Amino acid sequence: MKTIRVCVGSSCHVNGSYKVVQALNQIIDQRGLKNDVELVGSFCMGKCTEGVAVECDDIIYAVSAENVEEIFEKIWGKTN
Amino acid sequence: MPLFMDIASDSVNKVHEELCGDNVEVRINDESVIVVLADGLGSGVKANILATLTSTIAATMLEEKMGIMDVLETLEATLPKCSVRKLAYSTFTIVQVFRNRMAYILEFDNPPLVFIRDGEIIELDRQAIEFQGKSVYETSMEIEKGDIMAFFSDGVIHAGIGSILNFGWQWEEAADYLLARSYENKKAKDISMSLVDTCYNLYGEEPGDDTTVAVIKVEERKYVTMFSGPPLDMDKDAEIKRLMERGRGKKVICGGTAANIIAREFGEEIVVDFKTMSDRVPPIARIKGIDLVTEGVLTMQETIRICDDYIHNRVGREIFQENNGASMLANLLFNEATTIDLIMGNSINPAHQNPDFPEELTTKWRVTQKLIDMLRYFNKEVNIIYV
Repeated sequence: MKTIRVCVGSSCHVNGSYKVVQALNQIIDQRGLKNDVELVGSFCMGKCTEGVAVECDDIIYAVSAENVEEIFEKIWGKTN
Repeated sequence: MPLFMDIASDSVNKVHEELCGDNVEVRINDESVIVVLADGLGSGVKANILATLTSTIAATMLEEKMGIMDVLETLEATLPKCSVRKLAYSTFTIVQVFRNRMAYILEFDNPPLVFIRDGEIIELDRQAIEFQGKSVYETSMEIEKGDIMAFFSDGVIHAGIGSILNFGWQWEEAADYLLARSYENKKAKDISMSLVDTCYNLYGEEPGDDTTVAVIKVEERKYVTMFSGPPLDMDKDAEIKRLMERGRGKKVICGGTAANIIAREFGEEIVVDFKTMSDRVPPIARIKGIDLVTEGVLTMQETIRICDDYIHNRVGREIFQENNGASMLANLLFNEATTIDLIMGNSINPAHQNPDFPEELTTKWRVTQKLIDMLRYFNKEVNIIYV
């Protein structure tokens, strides 16, 4: 079980955290990973200026609607 | 504890007029609440000046504890005479409610005040005072929780004359209408808006007279303690904890960092509820012991928009029932609070330095100030605690 935290603070929301959450949900759905990945929200992680902050295993990624797939690969690829 | 006066007023202008010939003046201070509704003779600029002068003079003099005879004499001596009718004329209704629950009502030529108590319209014990050949009626009485006082200009009872209803609706019908609204457990603002809207419709959307309603609803105080914006000095986080613990009524946090501080100080988890997320508003979160946790500026901005929409676009009460942070915050502040204690820090959020951030939101302070202004516009009591 992996926990992916998406920042939903002011700045990340403006940077598109809504779209990122939707995209991540879609990816998890498509790959049937519902029981392997948990998506949770978080308020400000202090990385406001670099895109939507997404944290997994203590690493914070700067995510956007464009690179969300790629980042997911990075996170998921590490364990499998 | 003194009761809270939920005060609201609404007007529509006579058709083709840019100014309203009625004016409502509200004064709230430590000793009393004063509401004056004045209806200037005629319409347009002249009526507006008469009404504004009358309501402002009366409210100011009463606030300065002048006697009612002094007020009447000053009005008589000050108001310009109408050149058409050779009269200095503005009708008015004054309601002053003191902290010890005594209400003083003074009526001069406006339709009688509608006083609703326990689901009935009650007759006031009016005493006539003669002033220069005219009768002014005064009433002193004690108010109770749940009382509603509604008073209006004669535009209300003339609504519909010559169009939908032959002789307009009478005072009795307008009073019954108000009584029916009182059963719906609404805010003063809902009642004043619905009466004015109904009159506007009766007039066939072309009001023959300026129409103004003021409503005072006596309520028990309901508190909300709201924490928005972390302090500049991080050592003060413990003080915030103390303030929140001792805070009155429901507890609200607006702001991600503020939520993080509280969660850390209380040793609780933040659980974000994705179901309340939308394109416009970030989701709310839950922290044990806190009634509502939302993101900061974006949510507050949307809350302001919701209330604005409610008043100016008559979108209906459903707007307060939506499943998102802004709607919940609006509902809590507008419908469920009379007194708001706002704990406000002034640290600078790095998020607001982001060049992509919408310009109007660059300072949280500005948005918070707008929210405070709006709450005060609804005559809510807002206390600000700077940390």
